[in-house]
Amino acid sequence: MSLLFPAFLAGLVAWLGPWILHRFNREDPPETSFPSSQFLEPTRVPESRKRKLRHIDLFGLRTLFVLAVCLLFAQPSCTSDSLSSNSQRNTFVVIDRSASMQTGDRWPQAVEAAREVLRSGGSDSSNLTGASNAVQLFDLSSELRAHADLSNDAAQAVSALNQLQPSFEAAQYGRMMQQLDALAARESLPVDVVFVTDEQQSNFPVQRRLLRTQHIDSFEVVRVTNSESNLSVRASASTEDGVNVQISTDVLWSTAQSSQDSASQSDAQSIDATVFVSDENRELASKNVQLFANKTQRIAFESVILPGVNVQALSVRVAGDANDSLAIDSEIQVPVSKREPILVGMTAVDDAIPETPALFVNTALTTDRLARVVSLDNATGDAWSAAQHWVVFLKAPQGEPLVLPDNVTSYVESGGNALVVLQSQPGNLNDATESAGSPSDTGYVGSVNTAHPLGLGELNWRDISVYETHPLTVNLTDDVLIRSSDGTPYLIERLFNEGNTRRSGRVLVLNDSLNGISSDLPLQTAFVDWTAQVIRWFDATTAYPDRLDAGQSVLLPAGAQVISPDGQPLRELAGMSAAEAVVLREPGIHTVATRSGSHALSVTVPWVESNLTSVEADTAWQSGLVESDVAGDAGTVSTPNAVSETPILTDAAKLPWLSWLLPIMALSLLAENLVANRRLRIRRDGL
Amino acid sequence: MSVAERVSPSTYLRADVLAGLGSLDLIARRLVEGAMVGLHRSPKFGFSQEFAEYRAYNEGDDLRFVDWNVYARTDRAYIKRFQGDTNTRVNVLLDCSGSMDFGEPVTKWQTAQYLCAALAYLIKNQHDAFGLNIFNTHTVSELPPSASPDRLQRVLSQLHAAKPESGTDLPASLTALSQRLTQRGLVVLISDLYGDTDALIKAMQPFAHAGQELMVFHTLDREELEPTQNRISAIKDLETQEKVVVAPEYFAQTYRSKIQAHCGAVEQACVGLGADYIRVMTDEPLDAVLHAYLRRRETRPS
Repeated sequence: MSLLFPAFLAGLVAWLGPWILHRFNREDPPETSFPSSQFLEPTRVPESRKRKLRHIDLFGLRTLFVLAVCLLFAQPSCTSDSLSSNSQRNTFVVIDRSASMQTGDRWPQAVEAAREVLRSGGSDSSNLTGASNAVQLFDLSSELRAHADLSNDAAQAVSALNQLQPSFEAAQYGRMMQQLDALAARESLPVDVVFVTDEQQSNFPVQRRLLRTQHIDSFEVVRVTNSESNLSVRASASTEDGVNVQISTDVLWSTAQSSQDSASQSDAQSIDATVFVSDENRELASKNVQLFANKTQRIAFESVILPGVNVQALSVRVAGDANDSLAIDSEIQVPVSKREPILVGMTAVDDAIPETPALFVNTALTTDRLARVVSLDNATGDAWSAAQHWVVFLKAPQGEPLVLPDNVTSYVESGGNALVVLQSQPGNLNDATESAGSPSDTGYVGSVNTAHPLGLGELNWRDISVYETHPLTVNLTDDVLIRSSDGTPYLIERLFNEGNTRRSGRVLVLNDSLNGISSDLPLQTAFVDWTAQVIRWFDATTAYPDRLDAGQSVLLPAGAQVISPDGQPLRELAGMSAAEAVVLREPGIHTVATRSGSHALSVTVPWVESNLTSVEADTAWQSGLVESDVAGDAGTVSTPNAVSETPILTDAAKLPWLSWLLPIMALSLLAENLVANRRLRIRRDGL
Repeated sequence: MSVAERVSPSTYLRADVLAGLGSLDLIARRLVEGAMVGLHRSPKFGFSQEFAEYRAYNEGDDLRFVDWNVYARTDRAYIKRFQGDTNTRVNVLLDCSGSMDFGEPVTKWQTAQYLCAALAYLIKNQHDAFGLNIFNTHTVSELPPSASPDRLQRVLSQLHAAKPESGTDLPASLTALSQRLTQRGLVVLISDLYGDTDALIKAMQPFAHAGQELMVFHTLDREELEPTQNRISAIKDLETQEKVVVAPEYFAQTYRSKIQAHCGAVEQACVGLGADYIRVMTDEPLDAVLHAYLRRRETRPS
């Protein structure tokens, strides 16, 4: 019998509580009134009554309850080795293919170790039975991938192993364990897992409970580490005027020591390094910096002159006195993002653009150079690609359900964003002053959905008077963000393709003509802020990031393409008719080409992979796990056959009586109540 | 003492008790001294139908009382004298110590209240004077004997105002009352009689010597005589508030013998003093106890 959490055994001392209660509880005799003590004499209470363990049955029930609670938390289990000792086992061999495995000779070590495990048919303990075990090879980068089928013949797996190369992506140990657990749940035989990895501290999930599994019978880690160090850099660059570039860089010097050792030595260890900024031809700027082990240092270049107008990216490199075992992250290409106004189109459906509302909207959008506005009457077809977002003036329906025109709907469904401003038609207005109760009163903004990410709660809506609104019938799926004081929907978000994976844009419908007559919204300062928030909210859906980690995906709308650094398109033409998430696995400058232009996207080695700090052997993974290094401090590879194993007991090996603990606990509690009521004469009549 | 509040007679005069009393009278078996004509025999000659004696006529005697038949036969003048009937004074001594606040279904104090009220009602109907002295360690309230019409109401008010509390000093109260009584009459003691037995008996003796007719109503609860304690308990004295841890075995044996001996001693002392000893249990019907006693008293020769 063993316990997954021996600390819970400490709870067993809680049984002392009932024992003390029953053993030493000095029960004072009950007090009884009597007319006179004239004929009474004090009786000496026998000592045996005090020292006797009283109410044995009640004590037993209470002890049973405490024991059940402790066992419930401790989750005791018995190994099922006795049951399955004569049966076969499955072995999953997982090799870490994350970017950090490119460090030094980690990858050859890992391949050799995995190969030996595959050839030996799994772990040593399984060989004790003499039965041949089935093995399956997996590799881990951003996700777990299987190579070859689960088979008794390891040749296929070894062949697949020889084809593998380390990736540029980051490993996620927590996700891997959950995936392995799910795979193990499908197997009828006990599953052993052998994981060959460099055990980076940064790859461990913050919540270690994600590492817990239920269906894996044993888990073994084969660690490949050497005393390497790594210099890495990441950066971002931007310019406002197209000439001066501001570059922010993070530089890290990490060593392969354990986190405990590195913490104690980081203060003492430091190196001198230099960060260079250059283009293809020459060096533009450089800075010297002193780096401390495993501590990120930020260096800013305030103004680097862009060597040419057409320069899309700059190179940032770090070099120093230390050995750089992982070269792929010490030099990166950084796209220079240009902060330009957002291009917003303005159009009207089946009519000319109304002059006054357009003036208000134009003024608000161009404030602080937020946006640049282009006007286009009756935009159709490809004209919608002339701007990033659109403001559409639409005649308000006369009491009918709100229906957006087909061209607006198709534009939004293709990923575009639009603000629809309803325009008045003669005779279709609600006089908000009448519904406000008195002709002299004006309507106002009633309820505001402050939880919406549009940030409506940050604006001052109290000073806005609403005089006229259009009678609107909204769909059930519409989200009314603002209602006027008479309950009429004032600002509505229409949701497209709810629950569908296809990417669509955002639509807001404003039930206000914005002519300064139906309300004083365009005359208030809140209008400028609100307009800016709407455009930024729109822009967040279509703006592409400047940088991604290798292994992450970018969501592309229909018709958009992404070009790899070597000029190869990553999307198949057949799939370009719909929105799609494209995983970018190679570092370098990628180009996202859309109908509205192209965008440079830098893909870098994940920052977590740059940090080579490994975990301490005694705290890694789950308690009870014994690890073995196949590479010592001197960097020599030991034979994987010497790998020892201590299986981790999981829920699969636990005895079924664990599920009876709860009923036992409930029954003991019930019986304790019944016995206590009877033995201790607990009255329930309130007297 | 002023009357605190007017109490409804039905509060303490239980209908079943009064119905049980019927036409019974509480008549003194000894000669009592009173100022008015009543039901009781007086030590003085009076105007009853019962002949007492002849006395030689003396000058100044009323000629209406001369027995002319005797004078015709003997030629001597004799005065014919008859026994006198008088009313009497009934003094009730009521114990309101803390020990009286005990018993089920009614406490001893409640039983004593009903008993006292019933006696007051009986005395009032006989037109005798009724006095009440409520005491514990001291005199709580005192009503001198009176046959006034509102006496019953005042008695009820005093009964209502008194609360059983504190200890008791029965011998002192008896001694004080005996010193105040100047005329012979009835003295009624209602108490649970806790205290030194010898001192109690000694305090009752002056009443017998003074010709007072003493009636002792010993109010007890069944739990006092036959305790049912079945576990070790801390017994709290209702008078002194002291706590004594007593085992059930003691209650079953020693205590019972002691309380029986105490009750027996008091009863024997009462018999020796010519007093009536009536044990009133709280779980027994009060009308039955009172009716039986009064009936027995009527049939018993004086």
